[in-house]
Amino acid sequence: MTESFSVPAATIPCENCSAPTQPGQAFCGACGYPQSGTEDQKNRFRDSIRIKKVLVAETQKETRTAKTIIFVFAGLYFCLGLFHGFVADDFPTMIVELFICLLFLVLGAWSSKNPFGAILTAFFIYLTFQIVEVFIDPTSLFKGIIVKIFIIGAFVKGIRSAMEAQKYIKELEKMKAVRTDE
Amino acid sequence: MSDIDVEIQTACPHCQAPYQPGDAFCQICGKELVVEPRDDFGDVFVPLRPVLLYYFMLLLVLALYKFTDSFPDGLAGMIVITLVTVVITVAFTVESWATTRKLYSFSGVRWSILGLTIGGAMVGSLVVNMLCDFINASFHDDVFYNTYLFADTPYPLLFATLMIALEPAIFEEVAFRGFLFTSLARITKGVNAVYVSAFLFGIMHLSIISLIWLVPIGIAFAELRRRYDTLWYGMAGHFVYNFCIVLYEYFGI
Ligand SMILES: [Zn+2]
Repeated sequence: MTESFSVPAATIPCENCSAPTQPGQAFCGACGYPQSGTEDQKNRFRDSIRIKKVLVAETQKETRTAKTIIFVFAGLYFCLGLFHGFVADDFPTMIVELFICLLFLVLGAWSSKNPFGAILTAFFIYLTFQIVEVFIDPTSLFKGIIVKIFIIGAFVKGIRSAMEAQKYIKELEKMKAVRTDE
Repeated sequence: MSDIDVEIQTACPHCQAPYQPGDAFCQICGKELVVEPRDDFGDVFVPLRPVLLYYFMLLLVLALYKFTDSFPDGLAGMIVITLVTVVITVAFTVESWATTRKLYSFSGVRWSILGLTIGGAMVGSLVVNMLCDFINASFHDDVFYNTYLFADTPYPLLFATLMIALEPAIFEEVAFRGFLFTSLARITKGVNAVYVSAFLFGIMHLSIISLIWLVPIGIAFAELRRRYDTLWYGMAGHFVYNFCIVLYEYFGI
C-alpha cells in the first residue's frame, strides 16, 4: 500500500492550489479540487470559491459603519485632547484623551486586518466608558441616547457580520483560495 | 505495524479509501477528511453570553466600589469587593468546569517555562515600576493596588501579599485566561482570543493609563495559556509580578 504512494512518478501541480498530484488522481488532497473531474465539476468548485469571496466582500460592507465609528472616536478624542491641553490648560486630561485616541487608532488598524476581534473589543471599551460615565454622572445616561443606541447597534451588527466573514474565510483557506495568515 | 492498523487509521471516513498523511481532502471522493467538531451556535452572541455577563457584572461591582459610597471605607471595603468578585468568578468557573478543567492539570507543566515566566514577570514589574515613576503615574489609580490600605493591619506585608498578589493571581487568571479565553477561542482564532481577552483584562481595571502595561501583560499570559493550555504559568507569573509591585511599594522603591 505504501509502495504505490511512494513511487516517484511525475506529479502534476493542482490547477487550483499547485500542490503536487498524481496523474489520474480524482481529487487534490490539499484543497479538494476535482482534478480529473468534468469541466462542470471544476466550474462548480471555482464558483463556490467565487461565491464565498462575494459573501466576504458583502460582510465587509456591513462592518464598515463599525470601523468608521472607531476612527471617529480616535478623531474625537484627539480634538478633545487638544482642546483640554491648549484651551483649558488641563494637561493631565489631555494626556488621557490623546492616549484614548491612540487606543482607538490601534483598534482601527486592527479592524482592517481582523474586524471581528477589533470590533468586539471596541464594543466592550465603548460600553465600559458609557457605564463609568453613568456612575460619575447619572444624568449622562440619557444624554445623546439616540446616538448611543445607533453606535451600539452598529457595533452589534459589525460583530455579527465579522463573524460571518470569519466563517467564509476559514472555508476559503481550506480550499486554498486565500492566503493563510496567523 | 500491520497493514490493517494502517488502513484503519488512514481511511477516509466517507468512502473508506486510504489516504496519505497530511491530506486535508480525500483523493478518491473529494470530501473533507478531518471534519472539525464545529460548534453550531447560530448567533455569535449566544457563545459570547458568558463573556458579556461576567465582564459587565464585574464592571458594575467595581464601578460601584470605585465611584460610589456603597461599599465600606478602607480595608473593610476592599475585603468586601474582593469577596464579591471571588464569588462571581467561582460561580462562572463552576458553570464552565467541563470545558476548562484541563487547564488546571499539572501534567505537562515544564519547569523551564515556569522559570522563564517568573523571570519575565520580575523584569516586567521592574520596567513597569520605572515607567510609572517616569510618567508620574501611580498604581493607586488602579482599583486593585491599594497597598496603603494594609498599613494599619498587624501584618501589612502579609495581608497585602494575600489580597494584592495572591488573590488576583488566582482569580484573574481563572477568569481572563480561563473561562473567558475558552469562550472566545470557541468563536474566533486563538490569536484573536489572546488580544480580546487582554483588552478586557486591561479595561476592567478602570484606569486608562494602566492600559500601557496591563494590555501587554494580558497578551503575555493569554499567549502562555493559548500555547500550553494551562493556567499555571499565568498564575505563577501574575503572582510574582504583583508580589514585586507590593514589595516596591512596601519598601518604597
Ligand atoms: Zn489543490
